[in-house]
Amino acid sequence: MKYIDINNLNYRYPSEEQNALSDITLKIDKGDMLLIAGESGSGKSTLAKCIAGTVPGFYGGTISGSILIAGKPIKEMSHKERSKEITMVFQDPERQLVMDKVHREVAFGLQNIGIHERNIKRRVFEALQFSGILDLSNRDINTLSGGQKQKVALASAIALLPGCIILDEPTSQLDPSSSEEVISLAKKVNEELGINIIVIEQRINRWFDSADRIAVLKGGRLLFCGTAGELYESANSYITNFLPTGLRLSKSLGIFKMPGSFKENRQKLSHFDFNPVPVHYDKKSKEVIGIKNLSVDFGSIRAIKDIDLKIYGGDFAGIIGANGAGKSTLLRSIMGFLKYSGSIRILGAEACKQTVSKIARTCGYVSQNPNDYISKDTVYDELKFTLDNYGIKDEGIIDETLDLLGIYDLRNKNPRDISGGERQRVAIASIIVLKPKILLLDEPTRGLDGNVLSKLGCTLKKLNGSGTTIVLITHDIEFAARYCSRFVLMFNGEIAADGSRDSVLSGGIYYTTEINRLLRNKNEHLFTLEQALLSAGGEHE
Amino acid sequence: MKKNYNEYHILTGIAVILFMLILSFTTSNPPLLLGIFISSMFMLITGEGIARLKTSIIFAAPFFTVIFLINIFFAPEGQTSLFSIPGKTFTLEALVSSAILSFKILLVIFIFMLFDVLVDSDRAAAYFSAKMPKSTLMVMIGLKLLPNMRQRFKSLKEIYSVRGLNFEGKSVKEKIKSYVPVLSVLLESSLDGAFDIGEAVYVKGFLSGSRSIYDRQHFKLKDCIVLVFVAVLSFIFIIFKLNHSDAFDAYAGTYVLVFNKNIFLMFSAIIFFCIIFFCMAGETQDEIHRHQ
Repeated sequence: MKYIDINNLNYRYPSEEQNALSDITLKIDKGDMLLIAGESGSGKSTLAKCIAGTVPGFYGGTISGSILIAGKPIKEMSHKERSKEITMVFQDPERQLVMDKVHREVAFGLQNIGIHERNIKRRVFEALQFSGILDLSNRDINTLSGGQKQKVALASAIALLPGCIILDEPTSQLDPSSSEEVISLAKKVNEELGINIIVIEQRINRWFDSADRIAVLKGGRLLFCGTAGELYESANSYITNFLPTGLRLSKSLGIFKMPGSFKENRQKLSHFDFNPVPVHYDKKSKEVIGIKNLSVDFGSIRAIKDIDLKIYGGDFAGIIGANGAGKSTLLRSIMGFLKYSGSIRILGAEACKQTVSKIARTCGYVSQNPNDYISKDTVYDELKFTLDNYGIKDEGIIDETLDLLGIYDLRNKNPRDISGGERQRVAIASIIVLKPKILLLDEPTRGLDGNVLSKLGCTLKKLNGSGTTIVLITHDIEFAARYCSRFVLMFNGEIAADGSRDSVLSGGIYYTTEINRLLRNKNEHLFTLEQALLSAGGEHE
Repeated sequence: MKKNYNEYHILTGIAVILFMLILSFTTSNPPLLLGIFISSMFMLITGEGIARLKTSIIFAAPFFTVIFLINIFFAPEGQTSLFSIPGKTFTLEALVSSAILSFKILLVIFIFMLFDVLVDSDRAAAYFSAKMPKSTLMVMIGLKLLPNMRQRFKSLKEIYSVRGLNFEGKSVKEKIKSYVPVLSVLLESSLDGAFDIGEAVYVKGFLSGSRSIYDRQHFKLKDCIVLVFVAVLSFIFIIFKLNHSDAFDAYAGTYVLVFNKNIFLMFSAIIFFCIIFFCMAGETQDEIHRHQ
């Protein structure tokens, strides 16, 4: 008997015309770790919610087919029974924690399912110890970092000792090192406690080695379900696109059997020649942003420590570094949102002596959340709103901008009804409609899937090609390596490295790409899959 | 060493806060108000430190000033003239009345600040969710959203200033109009946030039946002593109210009643209660676990 047995599952959200899930049949063994991959809108989260019971229990809608948990139909399970058996950790740590203190948050679920008073305390503190956050037990949740909050959410799930924990994009809001901690914890839960783990992810690189099976969804249908090896051998490019970059390289180079580890992959790739690629050197043009002795304080904490930085016209600069390194503070200082000491000159004028709206005419800024830019009923009106505020007449600028960003078809659509990637481009459009010479973007890649990322990258490259200087913050090194021409690495409010892709990433221990780690012994100037494939010569003995 | 007033039972903390609030709202007698003021300040300092008191004063100072000025300007009654400007006479009675009114506002703000010191929100949520889970959930979601909304409001203002909105418009109408897009985005995202929190607690089995108790709160002897004290003080105050012993009207010239012997006894009782409350509270412990 399978632990989770899903048969012919169909589901449609209330007031939707199309099924979100169609004819899903999926069986999961007890103790398995299942990875569910798929593009945005493929039905991954909906499937997870069906298993957790929030669909249709919380959302309503029409459901058919069956879901059996440990042999019992989920619709016959009471709310309490279901909560004891299956629980879920959501993507946004801010929107799932309800108590103020860590230990009380962990106890919250246990109280709900009626765990006896004498056992609760033990479960709370054991779960915290297991999760490695016992030292946080008395801390206020609002003082924790995103990664710590996500660990608290996972500890709350562990404390319930359920049969299955579903993780819905648990790392999409986190920086790489926090993500790794959460992933390690989830693996430990699966291995040591035998709890089933179902992970929903758009980018599965880091989970790939630990998953017993991987399912791929497309348009609400289950396209594939099998082991990592079977996924590697698949002939369907939609499915193999979910392979980690290193494995995509080995598959493209004709390595038939999937390498069992990163090390094995490196050994197999060492039999190939990788020809030298042209190394990109900086061509410095006129300075557009000049930063000198910049320091920014938040109370007693110095977020930026006396940095110097010059951004040149035509740069496509990626700012990388850990959370709290001062990346966002740097961009916000340039925009004049924060008080600073030192000097920031934008096209020769000091930032602190200008109003924000004056700076915005030459230096656009797009924040992390594209939803913040959605206040009107059509995409056209969003762009017009910005122009109206500056007293600029349309005269075709809006259509030109929409066309440049490849979203002209969305002109008359409600921005609330379009996908996350399209919203990101609408947000950018609402700023570049002013035709700023410089565009600052704060983590535009957060939460986007591979396909949408490529579209965003191409859009930004096109903008850069048309003369806009771009400075973006990202945790996605693969994305930055593919599109940025200059890299600024920050740690603890200071700039640790600044230069071209070759000079910054080729010597990287942590801040470099998977391809570079794999191939640096053969050719240290390779960073992307495309580069590696282009430079690959024949196989030798 | 800070005092941990959260050690008291949740109902004890609420009873003390209610007593102080009711007294502040229902009387204008200066010694009584002073008693409450000293007690609340003392609890704020011993519970949260001097920094919290400074914040409270910074927060309350504008209210105090505005109420004081409005009252002294628009309440011209009184016979003891202090000074005059053409067309306006400022009287001692108006000055006293304004000072007391603004002092009461200050007091209410202090007591609300004190609420956080005496009542731990997690313990309150745990206690009340066992008694009335649905209402508690609503309050919890509301309380959770407020700090997030404040943060979001700030970042939305930045974003919309980049998009050209001028929040420092010349007229009130312009200012209100500039905030409309920010508030509409804030409302949408807050509703989304509330929905997500609702879904998360649903998955965690909230409202799935009777809840067990994690940290059961017991009425201890010190709770009983405090509650008896509050009950006695309330009873005495009701008697005073019925006898008009606390009456104070700056304009009617009855402020001599300030020197009423009974009122001084009540003032002393409030201070004594505050000392007892302080002495019986435990001390805040440092975290027991070392950071790894």
